[in-house]
Amino acid sequence: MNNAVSHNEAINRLHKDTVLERLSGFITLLRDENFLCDTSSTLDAVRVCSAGYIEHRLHLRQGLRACLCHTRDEWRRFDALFDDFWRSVKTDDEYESATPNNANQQPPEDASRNRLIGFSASSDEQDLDQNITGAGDFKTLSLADFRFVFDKQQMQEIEQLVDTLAKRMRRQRRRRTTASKSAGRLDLRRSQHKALATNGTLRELAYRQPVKRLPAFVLLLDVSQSMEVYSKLFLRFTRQLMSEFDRSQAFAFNTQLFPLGQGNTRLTEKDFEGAMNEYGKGWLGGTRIAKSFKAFNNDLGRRCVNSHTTLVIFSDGYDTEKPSELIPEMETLQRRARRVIWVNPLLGRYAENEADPKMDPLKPYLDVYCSGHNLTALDELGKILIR
Amino acid sequence: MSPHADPQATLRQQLMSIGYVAEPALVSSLHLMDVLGKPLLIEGEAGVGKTEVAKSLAAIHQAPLIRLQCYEGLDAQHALYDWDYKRQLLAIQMAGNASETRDQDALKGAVYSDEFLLQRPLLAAIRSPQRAVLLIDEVDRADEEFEALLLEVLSDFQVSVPELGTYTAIHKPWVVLTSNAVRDLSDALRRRCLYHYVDYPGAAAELTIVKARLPDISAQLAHQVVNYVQRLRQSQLRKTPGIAETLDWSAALMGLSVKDLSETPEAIESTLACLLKTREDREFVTRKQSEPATENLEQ
Repeated sequence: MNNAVSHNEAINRLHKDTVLERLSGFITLLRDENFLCDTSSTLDAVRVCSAGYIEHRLHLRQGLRACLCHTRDEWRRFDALFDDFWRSVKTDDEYESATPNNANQQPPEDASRNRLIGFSASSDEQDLDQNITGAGDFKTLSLADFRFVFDKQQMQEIEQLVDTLAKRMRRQRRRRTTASKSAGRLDLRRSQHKALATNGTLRELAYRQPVKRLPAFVLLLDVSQSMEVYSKLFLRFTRQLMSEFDRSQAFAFNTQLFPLGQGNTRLTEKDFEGAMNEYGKGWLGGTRIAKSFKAFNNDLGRRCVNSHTTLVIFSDGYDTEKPSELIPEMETLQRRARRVIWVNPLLGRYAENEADPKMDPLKPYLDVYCSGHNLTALDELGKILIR
Repeated sequence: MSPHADPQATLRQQLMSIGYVAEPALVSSLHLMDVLGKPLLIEGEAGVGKTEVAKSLAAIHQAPLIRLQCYEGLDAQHALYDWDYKRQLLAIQMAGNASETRDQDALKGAVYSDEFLLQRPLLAAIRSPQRAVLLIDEVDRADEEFEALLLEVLSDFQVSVPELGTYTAIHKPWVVLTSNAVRDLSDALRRRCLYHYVDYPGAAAELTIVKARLPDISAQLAHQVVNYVQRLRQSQLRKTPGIAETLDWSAALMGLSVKDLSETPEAIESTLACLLKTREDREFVTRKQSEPATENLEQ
């Protein structure tokens, strides 16, 4: 009898050890897939198994998913990873109840329109002659598309005007309040504390006023070949913005994403050039926006972007990957950021309401879609940023 | 039968008995709230029934539902506790008039006591004499500072009041957090919670929900309503109708004594306000209305 009991215990222990080992392997796999699994989640998973969920695969899947997933993206990917790891065949009924039906949320993939970046006739070009005459005059320069401004003197003046635009941006008021001695809304709690010393007589009042903080910007710059004529101006704009706003960060991308710097350091043009040279293997190569944004979302997004961050993307949208690959990344960015602004310098060349197959599927995920092809457009962008 | 199968089946039946049709994964998550003693974070589009989970949980456990609606700028004074300043001032002045000696410590002890403490939802849930359901609704609307405030409550089920000490939950409440994923929540908050994503239901599940919530609806009308809404969700609308909208629309049609939509297609037009919440969506559907709406209702 005793032998039988000890034998069963040994089998149970062996079974338990095997399960724990497999579970540990599964959690390691999830961590490799960037799941937010910490020790607490692991302990929860063990408790789920101990609670009997291990005896039925569907229950195990549901139980582990509840405690090991923490985001919608993890929730979506979990089933495939679960099946892959536990080497089981999934059944339709399991998937029907488990997998979010997101098929209808993504716009249908559209055949990408091979629109070449040429200097095709546009309203801008028709007005070109009158636009670029008189270097140094804001009104004249402001309408000139940056791609036509090649004169060094003109470029410098434009850069100075960009500096001025960036400096116009001021602090944002927030709804959160902080203690103030002289102005704002009456703070009864602190006033009450002070009144204790004067036998309840409110002699000295305390106030609260809204927190004012500099806006935080995250800037993603497309520095691929197609953006060559605009990149320098946008880089200058970015550098000035970062020197004015401490909580700003900038990244550039072409075939990969790389950091340009943070706002709390005084960055010189040489710093930017250094960053570009260090990572600039794809400087004149193609553009992999979806891959770059995915890298940003997975590795940096959580740290860099929050509900107070304005995310500004400077890109013409030309991507060697399919638009459908970019959509989930844009969805993530929109969810995380306060606003997502896409600055497309090519927009100035298109007629109003002209269809753009590469950008149209992305528009639902953008708060602002604007052009930055000349100073007037950049001035508008400045107004949008300080709003 | 696995040891947990019975409680899950019971839970599902209980939810069904009060009109909440829960998918098996949600039942598992609710069951695990009890097993692991952790809060449940539910994410999903607006109108898919996230808030209803907490209400249903309160109903089946016959527990009080304490709700905290989140918004930007929500702070400790509105979520945890506050002091009744007016009464405190009165008490101080009365104490000052009655006594010549001003013992500030004694006065402070008297004024900062339970008597003058105003409980807000989080503290009320912690101090509830009966196990309560705490619903922290639309937590993504609050800002990061408020999330930090929640961490102590969600991990230790306790609230610290500097003047009085730390209150630990007598009965750990069932905590349900809902989020429309408007803003990404912090990892710290997510790690303290079980997670469940609620998506729009399939046609069969939605039909069951409609019949459970509106038992008087005719089978024909329920079928047509669900088909119509399911097809609307395939369209690129600005605001996709959720289950709440389906139920509202069904109730509106029943109120107009509509039995069969194919016989009274004008009823769709007159009740679209229940389903579509933006002008653009309304125009889009009205434009499409003449073509497939009624003829496809029978599908």
